[in-house]
Amino acid sequence: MAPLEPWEKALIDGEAFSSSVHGKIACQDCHQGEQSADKETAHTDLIAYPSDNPEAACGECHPDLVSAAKTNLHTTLAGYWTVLETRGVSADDPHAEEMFGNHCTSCHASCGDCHVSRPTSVGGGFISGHVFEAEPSMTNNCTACHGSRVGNEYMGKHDGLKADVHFRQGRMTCTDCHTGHEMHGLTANCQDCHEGPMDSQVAPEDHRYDGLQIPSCESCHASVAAGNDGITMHEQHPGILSCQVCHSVSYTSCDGCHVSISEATGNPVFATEGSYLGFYIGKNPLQSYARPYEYVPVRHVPISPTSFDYYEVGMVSNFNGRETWVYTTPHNIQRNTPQAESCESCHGNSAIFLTADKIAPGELDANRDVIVDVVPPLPR
Amino acid sequence: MVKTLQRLISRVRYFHLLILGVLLLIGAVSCQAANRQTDTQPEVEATVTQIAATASPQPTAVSELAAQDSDTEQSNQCLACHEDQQALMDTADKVEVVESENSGEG
Repeated sequence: MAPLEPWEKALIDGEAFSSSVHGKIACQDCHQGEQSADKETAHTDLIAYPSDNPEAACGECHPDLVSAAKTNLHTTLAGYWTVLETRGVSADDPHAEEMFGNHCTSCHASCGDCHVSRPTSVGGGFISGHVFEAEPSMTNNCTACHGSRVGNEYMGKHDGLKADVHFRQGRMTCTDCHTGHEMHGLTANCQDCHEGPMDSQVAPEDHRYDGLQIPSCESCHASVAAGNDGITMHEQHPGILSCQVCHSVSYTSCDGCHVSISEATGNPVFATEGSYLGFYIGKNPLQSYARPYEYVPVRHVPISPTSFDYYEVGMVSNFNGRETWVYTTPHNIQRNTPQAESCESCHGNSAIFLTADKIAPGELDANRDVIVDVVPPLPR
Repeated sequence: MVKTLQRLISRVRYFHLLILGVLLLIGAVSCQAANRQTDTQPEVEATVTQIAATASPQPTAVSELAAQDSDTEQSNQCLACHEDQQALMDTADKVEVVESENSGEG
Protein backbone atom coordinates (compact mmCIF):
# COMPACT_ATOMS: atom_id res chain seq x y z
CA MET A 1 0.00 0.00 0.00
CA ALA A 2 1.17 3.49 -0.78
CA PRO A 3 2.51 5.23 2.33
CA LEU A 4 0.81 8.37 3.59
CA GLU A 5 2.49 11.75 3.30
CA PRO A 6 4.19 12.81 6.56
CA TRP A 7 1.64 15.56 7.20
CA GLU A 8 -1.18 13.20 6.35
CA LYS A 9 -0.05 10.75 8.98
CA ALA A 10 -0.42 13.32 11.74
CA LEU A 11 -3.49 15.25 10.57
CA ILE A 12 -6.23 15.23 13.21
CA ASP A 13 -9.88 15.70 12.38
CA GLY A 14 -10.34 18.17 15.21
CA GLU A 15 -14.11 18.34 15.07
CA ALA A 16 -14.73 14.61 14.87
CA PHE A 17 -12.04 13.71 17.37
CA SER A 18 -13.02 16.34 19.91
CA SER A 19 -16.60 15.12 19.92
CA SER A 20 -15.53 11.51 20.42
CA VAL A 21 -15.05 9.85 23.79
CA HIS A 22 -11.28 9.76 23.45
CA GLY A 23 -11.33 13.39 22.45
CA LYS A 24 -12.34 14.26 26.02
CA ILE A 25 -8.95 13.14 27.24
CA ALA A 26 -6.23 15.77 27.24
CA CYS A 27 -3.54 15.11 24.63
CA GLN A 28 -0.77 15.03 27.21
CA ASP A 29 -2.51 12.38 29.28
CA CYS A 30 -1.55 9.87 26.60
CA HIS A 31 1.23 11.52 24.64
CA GLN A 32 3.04 13.58 27.26
CA GLY A 33 5.19 16.16 25.47
CA GLU A 34 4.89 19.82 26.37
CA GLN A 35 2.41 22.54 25.58
CA SER A 36 4.02 24.83 23.09
CA ALA A 37 3.42 26.25 19.67
CA ASP A 38 6.98 25.29 18.83
CA LYS A 39 7.16 21.79 17.41
CA GLU A 40 10.46 20.79 18.96
CA THR A 41 9.41 21.97 22.40
CA ALA A 42 5.95 20.46 22.08
CA HIS A 43 7.44 17.09 21.20
CA THR A 44 9.84 16.94 24.12
CA ASP A 45 9.55 13.45 25.63
CA LEU A 46 6.63 12.79 23.29
CA ILE A 47 5.12 9.33 23.37
CA ALA A 48 4.09 8.90 19.75
CA TYR A 49 2.59 5.43 20.26
CA PRO A 50 0.99 5.37 23.72
CA SER A 51 -0.50 1.91 23.30
CA ASP A 52 2.98 0.41 23.15
CA ASN A 53 2.37 0.46 26.89
CA PRO A 54 -1.25 -0.69 26.86
CA GLU A 55 -1.60 -0.95 30.63
CA ALA A 56 -0.81 2.72 31.04
CA ALA A 57 -2.57 4.06 27.96
CA CYS A 58 -5.65 1.88 27.63
CA GLY A 59 -5.89 -0.24 30.76
CA GLU A 60 -7.83 2.17 32.93
CA CYS A 61 -10.91 2.04 30.71
CA HIS A 62 -10.36 -1.27 28.91
CA PRO A 63 -8.89 -3.56 31.57
CA ASP A 64 -10.26 -6.82 30.15
CA LEU A 65 -8.92 -6.19 26.68
CA VAL A 66 -5.54 -5.07 27.92
CA SER A 67 -5.31 -8.04 30.23
CA ALA A 68 -6.11 -10.42 27.38
CA ALA A 69 -3.57 -8.71 25.15
CA LYS A 70 -0.77 -10.21 27.22
CA THR A 71 -1.42 -13.56 25.58
CA ASN A 72 -2.75 -12.27 22.29
CA LEU A 73 -0.84 -13.52 19.26
CA HIS A 74 -0.95 -10.06 17.71
CA THR A 75 0.86 -8.75 20.75
CA THR A 76 3.17 -11.57 21.67
CA LEU A 77 4.01 -12.94 18.21
CA ALA A 78 4.19 -16.27 20.00
CA GLY A 79 3.17 -18.04 16.81
CA TYR A 80 6.53 -17.13 15.27
CA TRP A 81 8.46 -18.56 18.18
CA THR A 82 6.34 -21.71 18.11
CA VAL A 83 7.38 -22.53 14.55
CA LEU A 84 10.95 -21.29 15.01
CA GLU A 85 11.52 -23.40 18.08
CA THR A 86 10.20 -26.56 16.45
CA ARG A 87 12.87 -25.97 13.83
CA GLY A 88 15.58 -25.60 16.44
CA VAL A 89 15.78 -21.82 16.76
CA SER A 90 16.02 -21.15 20.48
CA ALA A 91 14.50 -18.04 22.02
CA ASP A 92 17.38 -18.14 24.50
CA ASP A 93 19.94 -17.76 21.73
CA PRO A 94 21.03 -14.09 21.65
CA HIS A 95 21.64 -14.34 17.89
CA ALA A 96 18.08 -15.57 17.43
CA GLU A 97 16.83 -12.81 19.66
CA GLU A 98 18.68 -10.24 17.57
CA MET A 99 17.34 -11.73 14.35
CA PHE A 100 13.82 -11.74 15.73
CA GLY A 101 14.13 -8.14 16.86
CA ASN A 102 15.38 -6.99 13.48
CA HIS A 103 13.02 -8.88 11.23
CA CYS A 104 9.96 -10.07 13.13
CA THR A 105 8.95 -7.67 15.87
CA SER A 106 7.76 -5.01 13.45
CA CYS A 107 4.75 -7.26 12.91
CA HIS A 108 3.73 -6.79 16.53
CA ALA A 109 0.39 -5.00 16.64
CA SER A 110 -0.56 -2.64 19.45
CA CYS A 111 -4.05 -1.33 20.24
CA GLY A 112 -3.34 1.78 18.18
CA ASP A 113 -2.13 -0.23 15.19
CA CYS A 114 -5.66 -1.55 14.77
CA HIS A 115 -7.87 1.20 16.17
CA VAL A 116 -6.11 4.51 15.48
CA SER A 117 -3.40 4.23 12.86
CA ARG A 118 -2.08 2.12 10.13
CA PRO A 119 0.36 -0.40 11.61
CA THR A 120 3.84 0.94 12.21
CA SER A 121 5.20 -1.83 10.00
CA VAL A 122 3.76 0.01 7.00
CA GLY A 123 4.73 3.47 8.16
CA GLY A 124 1.78 4.31 10.39
CA GLY A 125 -0.48 7.34 10.02
CA PHE A 126 -3.97 8.09 11.30
CA ILE A 127 -6.75 6.25 9.50
CA SER A 128 -9.62 8.51 10.57
CA GLY A 129 -8.00 11.71 11.74
CA HIS A 130 -7.11 10.19 15.13
CA VAL A 131 -10.71 9.15 15.75
CA PHE A 132 -10.57 5.77 17.46
CA GLU A 133 -12.33 3.19 15.34
CA ALA A 134 -13.88 0.28 17.21
CA GLU A 135 -13.77 -1.81 14.06
CA PRO A 136 -10.43 -1.92 12.24
CA SER A 137 -10.35 -1.08 8.56
CA MET A 138 -9.80 -4.08 6.30
CA THR A 139 -7.39 -2.31 3.99
CA ASN A 140 -5.74 0.20 6.32
CA ASN A 141 -5.27 -2.21 9.19
CA CYS A 142 -5.76 -5.91 8.50
CA THR A 143 -4.36 -6.34 5.03
CA ALA A 144 -1.70 -3.71 5.67
CA CYS A 145 0.07 -6.59 7.43
CA HIS A 146 -1.75 -9.61 6.03
CA GLY A 147 -1.55 -8.39 2.48
CA SER A 148 0.72 -10.49 0.34
CA ARG A 149 -1.20 -13.69 0.90
CA VAL A 150 -4.55 -13.09 2.64
CA GLY A 151 -5.23 -9.63 1.25
CA ASN A 152 -4.31 -10.39 -2.33
CA GLU A 153 -6.20 -13.64 -2.33
CA TYR A 154 -9.30 -12.29 -0.61
CA MET A 155 -9.60 -9.26 -2.86
CA GLY A 156 -8.77 -11.12 -6.05
CA LYS A 157 -5.56 -9.31 -6.93
CA HIS A 158 -3.99 -12.24 -8.72
CA ASP A 159 -4.48 -12.33 -12.45
CA GLY A 160 -7.19 -14.72 -13.49
CA LEU A 161 -8.35 -15.48 -9.97
CA LYS A 162 -11.60 -14.16 -8.60
CA ALA A 163 -11.90 -12.50 -5.25
CA ASP A 164 -13.22 -14.58 -2.38
CA VAL A 165 -16.97 -15.07 -2.73
CA HIS A 166 -17.47 -13.63 0.75
CA PHE A 167 -15.92 -10.40 -0.49
CA ARG A 168 -17.14 -10.44 -4.06
CA GLN A 169 -20.77 -11.20 -3.32
CA GLY A 170 -21.10 -10.73 0.40
CA ARG A 171 -18.95 -7.60 0.66
CA MET A 172 -17.76 -9.06 3.92
CA THR A 173 -14.71 -7.58 5.61
CA CYS A 174 -12.25 -9.32 7.89
CA THR A 175 -14.14 -8.45 11.05
CA ASP A 176 -17.29 -10.14 9.85
CA CYS A 177 -15.58 -13.45 10.61
CA HIS A 178 -12.65 -12.44 12.82
CA THR A 179 -14.50 -10.85 15.68
CA GLY A 180 -13.08 -8.63 18.36
CA HIS A 181 -13.42 -11.55 20.74
CA GLU A 182 -10.98 -13.56 18.65
CA MET A 183 -8.71 -10.65 17.81
CA HIS A 184 -8.26 -9.63 21.43
CA GLY A 185 -7.53 -13.21 22.45
CA LEU A 186 -10.38 -13.22 24.92
CA THR A 187 -11.21 -16.56 26.43
CA ALA A 188 -14.11 -17.93 24.50
CA ASN A 189 -17.06 -19.35 26.33
CA CYS A 190 -16.75 -22.42 24.14
CA GLN A 191 -19.38 -24.42 25.96
CA ASP A 192 -22.03 -22.19 24.47
CA CYS A 193 -21.42 -23.73 21.08
CA HIS A 194 -19.16 -26.76 21.44
CA GLU A 195 -19.30 -30.06 23.19
CA GLY A 196 -16.46 -32.50 23.44
CA PRO A 197 -12.96 -32.93 24.79
CA MET A 198 -11.88 -29.45 23.80
CA ASP A 199 -14.88 -27.59 25.04
CA SER A 200 -12.88 -25.75 27.63
CA GLN A 201 -10.24 -24.63 25.16
CA VAL A 202 -9.36 -21.01 25.37
CA ALA A 203 -8.13 -18.74 22.61
CA PRO A 204 -4.82 -20.12 21.30
CA GLU A 205 -1.68 -18.61 22.74
CA ASP A 206 1.01 -20.46 20.82
CA HIS A 207 -0.16 -20.57 17.23
CA ARG A 208 -3.21 -19.53 15.30
CA TYR A 209 -4.01 -23.12 14.37
CA ASP A 210 -3.91 -24.34 17.95
CA GLY A 211 -7.20 -24.98 19.66
CA LEU A 212 -10.62 -24.59 18.16
CA GLN A 213 -11.25 -23.21 14.72
CA ILE A 214 -12.15 -19.62 15.37
CA PRO A 215 -13.68 -18.61 13.08
CA SER A 216 -15.00 -21.71 11.37
CA CYS A 217 -16.97 -22.07 8.16
CA GLU A 218 -19.44 -24.25 10.01
CA SER A 219 -20.42 -21.35 12.24
CA CYS A 220 -22.44 -19.98 9.32
CA HIS A 221 -22.76 -23.02 7.06
CA ALA A 222 -24.18 -25.37 9.65
CA SER A 223 -26.23 -27.49 7.27
CA VAL A 224 -23.15 -28.11 5.14
CA ALA A 225 -21.20 -29.30 8.15
CA ALA A 226 -24.05 -31.58 9.12
CA GLY A 227 -24.12 -33.00 5.59
CA ASN A 228 -27.84 -32.40 5.25
CA ASP A 229 -27.87 -29.65 2.66
CA GLY A 230 -28.66 -32.05 -0.17
CA ILE A 231 -25.29 -31.72 -1.91
CA THR A 232 -23.79 -35.11 -2.63
CA MET A 233 -20.19 -33.91 -2.34
CA HIS A 234 -20.85 -32.75 1.22
CA GLU A 235 -22.58 -35.99 2.11
CA GLN A 236 -19.73 -38.04 0.64
CA HIS A 237 -16.88 -36.28 2.45
CA PRO A 238 -18.06 -35.72 5.99
CA GLY A 239 -15.16 -34.48 8.08
CA ILE A 240 -12.58 -35.94 5.70
CA LEU A 241 -11.83 -32.76 3.80
CA SER A 242 -11.42 -29.27 5.10
CA CYS A 243 -13.79 -26.87 3.37
CA GLN A 244 -10.88 -25.26 1.51
CA VAL A 245 -9.97 -28.52 -0.22
CA CYS A 246 -12.98 -28.12 -2.46
CA HIS A 247 -13.65 -24.40 -2.24
CA SER A 248 -10.25 -22.76 -2.45
CA VAL A 249 -8.32 -21.95 -5.59
CA SER A 250 -4.64 -21.23 -6.28
CA TYR A 251 -2.78 -19.35 -3.59
CA THR A 252 0.71 -18.01 -3.04
CA SER A 253 3.63 -20.09 -1.86
CA CYS A 254 7.15 -18.79 -1.29
CA ASP A 255 10.60 -20.34 -1.25
CA GLY A 256 13.93 -19.64 0.40
CA CYS A 257 13.72 -16.51 2.50
CA HIS A 258 16.99 -15.16 3.86
CA VAL A 259 17.32 -12.23 6.20
CA SER A 260 20.26 -9.95 6.81
CA ILE A 261 21.31 -6.38 7.53
CA SER A 262 22.05 -4.19 4.52
CA GLU A 263 25.68 -3.13 4.31
CA ALA A 264 24.63 0.01 2.46
CA THR A 265 21.97 1.32 4.81
CA GLY A 266 22.10 -0.80 7.92
CA ASN A 267 18.44 -1.68 7.48
CA PRO A 268 17.05 -5.18 7.95
CA VAL A 269 16.35 -6.77 4.59
CA PHE A 270 14.97 -10.03 3.28
CA ALA A 271 15.20 -11.86 0.01
CA THR A 272 12.93 -14.66 -1.14
CA GLU A 273 14.03 -16.97 -3.91
CA GLY A 274 10.62 -17.22 -5.47
CA SER A 275 6.88 -17.02 -5.07
CA TYR A 276 4.30 -18.76 -7.15
CA LEU A 277 0.64 -19.65 -7.29
CA GLY A 278 -0.48 -23.21 -6.88
CA PHE A 279 -2.97 -25.50 -5.23
CA TYR A 280 -2.00 -28.73 -3.54
CA ILE A 281 -3.87 -31.10 -1.30
CA GLY A 282 -1.76 -32.71 1.39
CA LYS A 283 -2.28 -34.84 4.46
CA ASN A 284 -3.38 -32.86 7.49
CA PRO A 285 -0.37 -32.37 9.79
CA LEU A 286 -2.55 -30.89 12.55
CA GLN A 287 -5.20 -33.61 12.77
CA SER A 288 -7.12 -33.14 15.98
CA TYR A 289 -10.60 -32.96 17.44
CA ALA A 290 -10.93 -29.41 16.13
CA ARG A 291 -9.36 -30.23 12.74
CA PRO A 292 -10.27 -33.84 12.03
CA TYR A 293 -9.72 -33.65 8.29
CA GLU A 294 -7.57 -36.20 6.54
CA TYR A 295 -6.78 -33.81 3.71
CA VAL A 296 -6.18 -30.07 3.67
CA PRO A 297 -4.62 -27.59 1.25
CA VAL A 298 -0.94 -27.03 1.98
CA ARG A 299 1.15 -23.94 1.28
CA HIS A 300 4.92 -23.72 1.04
CA VAL A 301 6.51 -21.35 3.54
CA PRO A 302 9.88 -19.81 2.70
CA ILE A 303 11.93 -21.30 5.52
CA SER A 304 15.30 -22.67 4.48
CA PRO A 305 18.05 -24.40 6.45
CA THR A 306 20.15 -21.27 5.90
CA SER A 307 17.47 -18.59 6.39
CA PHE A 308 19.16 -17.05 9.41
CA ASP A 309 22.80 -17.87 8.69
CA TYR A 310 23.62 -14.16 8.54
CA TYR A 311 23.16 -14.13 12.31
CA GLU A 312 24.45 -17.58 13.14
CA VAL A 313 25.35 -20.40 10.81
CA GLY A 314 23.15 -23.36 11.55
CA MET A 315 20.60 -21.44 13.62
CA VAL A 316 17.88 -23.57 12.03
CA SER A 317 19.31 -26.63 13.69
CA ASN A 318 16.24 -28.84 13.27
CA PHE A 319 14.97 -28.01 9.81
CA ASN A 320 13.05 -31.28 9.67
CA GLY A 321 11.20 -30.50 12.88
CA ARG A 322 8.29 -29.04 11.02
CA GLU A 323 6.92 -29.35 7.50
CA THR A 324 7.63 -26.69 4.91
CA TRP A 325 4.31 -27.38 3.20
CA VAL A 326 2.03 -26.23 5.96
CA TYR A 327 -1.65 -26.47 6.82
CA THR A 328 -3.33 -23.49 5.25
CA THR A 329 -6.71 -21.84 5.00
CA PRO A 330 -6.57 -19.73 1.83
CA HIS A 331 -8.90 -16.75 1.79
CA ASN A 332 -10.09 -17.17 -1.78
CA ILE A 333 -13.20 -19.26 -1.31
CA GLN A 334 -15.33 -19.99 -4.38
CA ARG A 335 -18.53 -21.93 -4.68
CA ASN A 336 -17.35 -23.56 -7.89
CA THR A 337 -13.73 -24.60 -8.28
CA PRO A 338 -11.81 -26.75 -10.77
CA GLN A 339 -11.32 -29.54 -8.24
CA ALA A 340 -15.02 -29.62 -7.38
CA GLU A 341 -16.18 -30.04 -10.96
CA SER A 342 -16.24 -33.80 -10.88
CA CYS A 343 -15.07 -36.80 -8.91
CA GLU A 344 -12.21 -37.30 -11.37
CA SER A 345 -10.89 -33.82 -10.64
CA CYS A 346 -9.40 -35.22 -7.46
CA HIS A 347 -9.75 -38.98 -7.42
CA GLY A 348 -6.90 -40.46 -9.34
CA ASN A 349 -5.53 -37.03 -10.25
CA SER A 350 -2.05 -36.91 -8.77
CA ALA A 351 -1.44 -33.41 -10.15
CA ILE A 352 -3.57 -31.87 -7.46
CA PHE A 353 -2.02 -33.74 -4.54
CA LEU A 354 1.26 -33.00 -2.79
CA THR A 355 3.15 -36.07 -3.85
CA ALA A 356 6.84 -36.64 -3.15
CA ASP A 357 7.89 -35.71 -6.66
CA LYS A 358 6.72 -32.12 -6.05
CA ILE A 359 8.97 -31.63 -3.05
CA ALA A 360 12.57 -30.46 -3.10
CA PRO A 361 14.86 -33.36 -2.18
CA GLY A 362 16.18 -31.58 0.89
CA GLU A 363 12.69 -31.12 2.25
CA LEU A 364 11.33 -34.64 1.93
CA ASP A 365 11.97 -35.56 5.53
CA ALA A 366 10.47 -32.35 6.86
CA ASN A 367 7.28 -33.03 4.91
CA ARG A 368 6.87 -36.70 5.70
CA ASP A 369 3.57 -36.03 7.49
CA VAL A 370 1.94 -34.12 4.65
CA ILE A 371 3.09 -36.04 1.58
CA VAL A 372 0.30 -37.98 -0.10
CA ASP A 373 1.77 -41.38 -0.84
CA VAL A 374 -1.31 -42.85 -2.46
CA VAL A 375 -3.66 -40.66 -4.42
CA PRO A 376 -7.23 -41.59 -3.54
CA PRO A 377 -8.60 -43.66 -6.41
CA LEU A 378 -11.98 -43.17 -7.97
CA PRO A 379 -14.51 -45.09 -5.86
CA ARG A 380 -16.12 -48.05 -7.59
CA MET B 1 -67.48 69.64 95.73
CA VAL B 2 -64.01 69.62 97.07
CA LYS B 3 -64.28 65.91 97.71
CA THR B 4 -65.49 65.29 94.15
CA LEU B 5 -62.56 67.29 92.84
CA GLN B 6 -60.11 65.33 95.02
CA ARG B 7 -61.59 62.01 93.76
CA LEU B 8 -61.19 63.24 90.17
CA ILE B 9 -57.62 64.28 90.76
CA SER B 10 -56.95 60.98 92.41
CA ARG B 11 -58.47 59.12 89.40
CA VAL B 12 -56.47 61.32 87.06
CA ARG B 13 -53.34 60.47 89.07
CA TYR B 14 -54.27 56.77 88.81
CA PHE B 15 -54.98 57.22 85.13
CA HIS B 16 -51.65 58.91 84.74
CA LEU B 17 -50.01 56.09 86.61
CA LEU B 18 -51.96 53.67 84.50
CA ILE B 19 -50.76 55.36 81.34
CA LEU B 20 -47.29 55.53 82.73
CA GLY B 21 -47.47 51.84 83.51
CA VAL B 22 -48.73 51.03 80.05
CA LEU B 23 -45.97 53.11 78.54
CA LEU B 24 -43.42 51.33 80.67
CA LEU B 25 -44.88 48.01 79.61
CA ILE B 26 -44.75 49.00 75.97
CA GLY B 27 -41.25 50.26 76.50
CA ALA B 28 -40.26 47.01 78.14
CA VAL B 29 -41.83 44.95 75.43
CA SER B 30 -40.16 47.12 72.83
CA CYS B 31 -36.82 46.66 74.52
CA GLN B 32 -37.35 42.94 74.69
CA ALA B 33 -38.27 42.91 71.01
CA ALA B 34 -35.25 45.00 70.28
CA ASN B 35 -33.14 42.63 72.36
CA ARG B 36 -34.66 39.72 70.47
CA GLN B 37 -33.73 41.39 67.20
CA THR B 38 -30.21 41.96 68.45
CA ASP B 39 -29.97 38.31 69.58
CA THR B 40 -31.22 37.04 66.20
CA GLN B 41 -28.78 39.05 64.13
CA PRO B 42 -25.71 36.91 64.77
CA GLU B 43 -27.74 33.81 63.93
CA VAL B 44 -28.61 35.30 60.58
CA GLU B 45 -25.05 36.34 60.09
CA ALA B 46 -23.94 32.87 61.10
CA THR B 47 -26.39 31.36 58.65
CA VAL B 48 -25.13 33.62 55.89
CA THR B 49 -21.61 32.73 56.81
CA GLN B 50 -22.61 29.10 56.83
CA ILE B 51 -24.20 29.41 53.42
CA ALA B 52 -21.15 31.23 52.27
CA ALA B 53 -19.04 28.45 53.73
CA THR B 54 -21.22 25.83 52.11
CA ALA B 55 -21.13 27.72 48.90
CA SER B 56 -17.40 28.12 49.05
CA PRO B 57 -16.77 25.11 46.68
CA GLN B 58 -18.56 27.07 44.02
CA PRO B 59 -15.70 29.44 43.48
CA THR B 60 -13.38 26.41 43.57
CA ALA B 61 -15.54 24.65 41.01
CA VAL B 62 -15.43 27.73 38.88
CA SER B 63 -11.70 27.82 39.22
CA GLU B 64 -11.59 24.13 38.24
CA LEU B 65 -13.67 24.90 35.22
CA ALA B 66 -11.34 27.71 34.46
CA ALA B 67 -8.47 25.27 34.82
CA GLN B 68 -10.25 22.86 32.53
CA ASP B 69 -10.79 25.62 30.06
CA SER B 70 -7.14 26.34 30.41
CA ASP B 71 -6.38 22.67 29.76
CA THR B 72 -8.63 22.72 26.75
CA GLU B 73 -6.86 25.78 25.54
CA GLN B 74 -3.60 23.96 26.10
CA SER B 75 -5.00 20.91 24.31
CA ASN B 76 -5.98 23.18 21.54
CA GLN B 77 -2.35 24.06 21.18
CA CYS B 78 -1.79 20.48 20.12
CA LEU B 79 -4.88 20.52 17.95
CA ALA B 80 -4.07 23.93 16.58
CA CYS B 81 -1.13 22.41 14.77
CA HIS B 82 -2.39 18.90 14.18
CA GLU B 83 -5.63 19.93 12.54
CA ASP B 84 -3.91 22.50 10.37
CA GLN B 85 -2.82 20.76 7.21
CA GLN B 86 -0.64 23.61 6.05
CA ALA B 87 1.10 23.86 9.41
CA LEU B 88 1.85 20.16 9.33
CA MET B 89 3.15 20.42 5.78
CA ASP B 90 5.35 23.34 6.75
CA THR B 91 6.82 21.67 9.78
CA ALA B 92 7.03 18.07 8.57
CA ASP B 93 10.43 16.46 8.70
CA LYS B 94 11.82 15.80 5.29
CA VAL B 95 11.57 12.13 4.50
CA GLU B 96 14.25 10.60 2.39
CA VAL B 97 12.74 8.10 0.00
CA VAL B 98 14.64 4.90 0.56
CA GLU B 99 14.40 2.29 -2.13
CA SER B 100 13.42 -1.03 -0.66
CA GLU B 101 16.34 -3.39 -0.51
CA ASN B 102 14.10 -6.38 -0.05
CA SER B 103 13.69 -8.73 -2.93
CA GLY B 104 10.89 -11.13 -3.60
CA GLU B 105 7.53 -11.39 -1.91
CA GLY B 106 7.43 -10.69 1.81
